[in-house]
Amino acid sequence: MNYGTGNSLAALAALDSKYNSFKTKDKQDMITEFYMFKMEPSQKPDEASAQLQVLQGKLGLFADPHPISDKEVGLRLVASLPGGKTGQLGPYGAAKIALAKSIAATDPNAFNLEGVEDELNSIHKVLYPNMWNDEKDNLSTSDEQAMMAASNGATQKKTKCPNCDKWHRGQCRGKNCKPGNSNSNNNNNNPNDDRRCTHCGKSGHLENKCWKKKKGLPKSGPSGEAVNACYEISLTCTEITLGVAMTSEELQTLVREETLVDTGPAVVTIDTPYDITFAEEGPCSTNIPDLEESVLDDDDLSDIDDFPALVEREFDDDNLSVDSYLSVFASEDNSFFPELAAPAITSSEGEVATVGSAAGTASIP
Amino acid sequence: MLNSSIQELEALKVLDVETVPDCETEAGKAIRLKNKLIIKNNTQMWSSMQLAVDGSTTKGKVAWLKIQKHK
Repeated sequence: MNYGTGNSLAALAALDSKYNSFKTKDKQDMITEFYMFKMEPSQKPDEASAQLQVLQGKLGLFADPHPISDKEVGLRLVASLPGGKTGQLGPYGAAKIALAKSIAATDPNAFNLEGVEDELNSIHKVLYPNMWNDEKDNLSTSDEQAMMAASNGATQKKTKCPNCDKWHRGQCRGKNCKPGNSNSNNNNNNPNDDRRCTHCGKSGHLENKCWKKKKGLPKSGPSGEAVNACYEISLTCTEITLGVAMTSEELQTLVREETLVDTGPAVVTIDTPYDITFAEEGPCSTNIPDLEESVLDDDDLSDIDDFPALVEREFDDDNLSVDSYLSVFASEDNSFFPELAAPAITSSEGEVATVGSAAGTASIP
Repeated sequence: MLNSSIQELEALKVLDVETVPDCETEAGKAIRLKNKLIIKNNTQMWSSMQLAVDGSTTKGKVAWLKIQKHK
């Protein structure tokens, strides 16, 4: 097949002009990119200026270069500063207008782009000091410290703070959790603090910060076991809660105990040498029987001058009983123990009560 | 690789490099052989371009026409 012969170079040039037009297109893109450049709010002005200067250099390297002067770069840099909302100046404020005017008035040959960068950087340092503080820290610390700081920052994740209910890293710096504030409620994080929560018995927090208490879990002792959980609930909760948490018998018991707490103890122990204890089964009463304590006091016995002479009587040991023993005193006209000779010991049926020194009973000498 | 230009190729298209003159000098012979090589390379490149262009697509047809304009 004869294709003929033509000018291959001319054909290549024609094809190149038709299809290989990336250089012209790229140039237009670069020009558009340069004049539409917008600086990010957090971007440093010197970095933005560097980007513009790269575009300036690339446009100058084309076969048909598009020359851009430094003054244009400076004007473009000022124009690309982040603006505010409609009708507002933005973070750079009036400095943007002042710089634009001064650049426009400057001779292109005498224009100093670095001076504009410095002025914008000084404003940026005020607006975003954290970006520049990081740079200072990196310069002042050693590489090892920088690596440690980077590793700590990488591993430290944001967690929800139980103190301020916000998501943040590290120690909470909320208003109630300032480090060194002795009045703060969180000072029980001190490892030397041996105080324990009175609700769950654990160290590290106090009762007002106890999550178990907040969740309504029962109170636990120092070792963690529940201590009289139902009783604790009964003192704090309503009757409805009591009905759910307790049986009717337990509820009655607690009601009775609360009543006793209000009115005084029903079980009264009197400190006497005879260890007499009175137990009240019925409703609480403060009517403690009068014991005539002087009668039972040994010291008072010495005050008796006319103590009757003891009459020796012979008792048959085999037939000896309390009944007969007491009946002797009861039969005496001038008996000094009428109360003790009273029928508390001997029942109406003639049964003999057990007399001893056991607790809860009256022991007779 | 011999360097040439579009204008040189256009001039060589009408030049007879195959006929050897009777009194051809050594310099004339060198130029003739050089032009002959240029033309040969151009023919090879042209043939390659003809084969490379796919005329079944729209873009290929346009390319074909672009090439044929310089035949």
